[in-house]
Amino acid sequence: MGAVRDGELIEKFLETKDVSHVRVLFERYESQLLGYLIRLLQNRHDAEDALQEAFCKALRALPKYQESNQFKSWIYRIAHNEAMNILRTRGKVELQADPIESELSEHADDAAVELIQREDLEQLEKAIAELPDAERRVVVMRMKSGLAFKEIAVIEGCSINTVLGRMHNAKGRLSARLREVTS
Amino acid sequence: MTTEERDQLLLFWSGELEDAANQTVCELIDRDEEARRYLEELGGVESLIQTLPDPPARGIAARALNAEAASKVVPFRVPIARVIGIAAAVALLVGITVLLSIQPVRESIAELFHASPETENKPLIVPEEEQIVEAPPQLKELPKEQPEPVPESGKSMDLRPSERVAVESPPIRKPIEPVPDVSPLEPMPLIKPLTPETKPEKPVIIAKTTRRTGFEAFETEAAEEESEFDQRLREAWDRAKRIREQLTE
Repeated sequence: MGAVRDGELIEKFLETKDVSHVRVLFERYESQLLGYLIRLLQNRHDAEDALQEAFCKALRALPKYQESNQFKSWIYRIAHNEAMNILRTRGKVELQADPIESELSEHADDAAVELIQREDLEQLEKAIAELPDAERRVVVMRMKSGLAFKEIAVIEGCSINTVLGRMHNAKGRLSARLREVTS
Repeated sequence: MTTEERDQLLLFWSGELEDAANQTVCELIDRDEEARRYLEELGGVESLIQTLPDPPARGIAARALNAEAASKVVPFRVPIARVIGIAAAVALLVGITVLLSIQPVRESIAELFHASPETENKPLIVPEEEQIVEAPPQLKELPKEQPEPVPESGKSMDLRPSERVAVESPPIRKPIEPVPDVSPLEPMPLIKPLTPETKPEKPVIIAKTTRRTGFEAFETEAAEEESEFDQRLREAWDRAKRIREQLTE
């Protein structure tokens, strides 16, 4: 039995006002969104705050939700805007040495995870963290969260050609960095 | 590879390219080595990035929903309590108003405070200490020529006439005259029998209604009960007298 579609959950919530439907919907994306926000903000606490605020805003805005089957890009847009607000108030991105590394060391304590694989992942996280903000956002949204370029363009508020340009640049930087690491 | 071709390649890789442009990109991939390498690199980076774990969210969605629910509940609590309080007060006021507007209830309340003619005539027994006799009229106002008293601080005292009375004429206490003893068995005739001399030209309305007031009704009932009791006592006394006479005979 397949999972209930996002649109159906929203319809049920709007009919019954039962928040459990929204909870299922939010929990479907919360991990992805948190990962995106951590990579974007380079800080877990800010990312959690941004995500919580995004969920609150989404809940308030759900009765006016019109975009059927576009919930993922819609919630990403809200989360993205929250992250941008935090970045604006912060003034500049405070880069941490290993923001995701600490996350991994905290949570990926599974003995089955091989050390080499872990090191590779850490290198990859570093490479992503070193990307310019705009490029990092596009890479994470497209390659990690699976959003379409058109959706990313809407979220970013720019043209699709700009998004494609950022993606091209990010891909170039990442490939070069990974070649360095492997060599 | 041009920028336009690169963008089309990205859209093709993403699966967002329109069907019409698909054929063009397929031809490009077939003929251009660089395009093929580009697509391979994109796939490699994507597969690597997708292996990155998502951090556990630790129930952020639930927290957000709880916070949102709490923010909705709190502002509603105060108005509901206020509305209930105001509604209760209004209901109480309306109830009292309706109760007072009902005729029998109003009459019964009025009866409680209504002084009957009998009680009006009876002297009010007040303890000696409580009896305050009004000051004689000549002391009620200060003579106009007399200058107003000025306090030591130099400020003038602006007292009204009523206040002056309170200052100039303290209440005089007077001993109470003895109250005439009124026997309860022999009530005083309050209404004099009409004689040709006392009979007025117009009939005097003693009471507007035939309805007895509370105190009046109580007194009448008591008097009736007393007369019945006296009669029975008298009969019993007579019977006892007769028995004693028979016994002495």
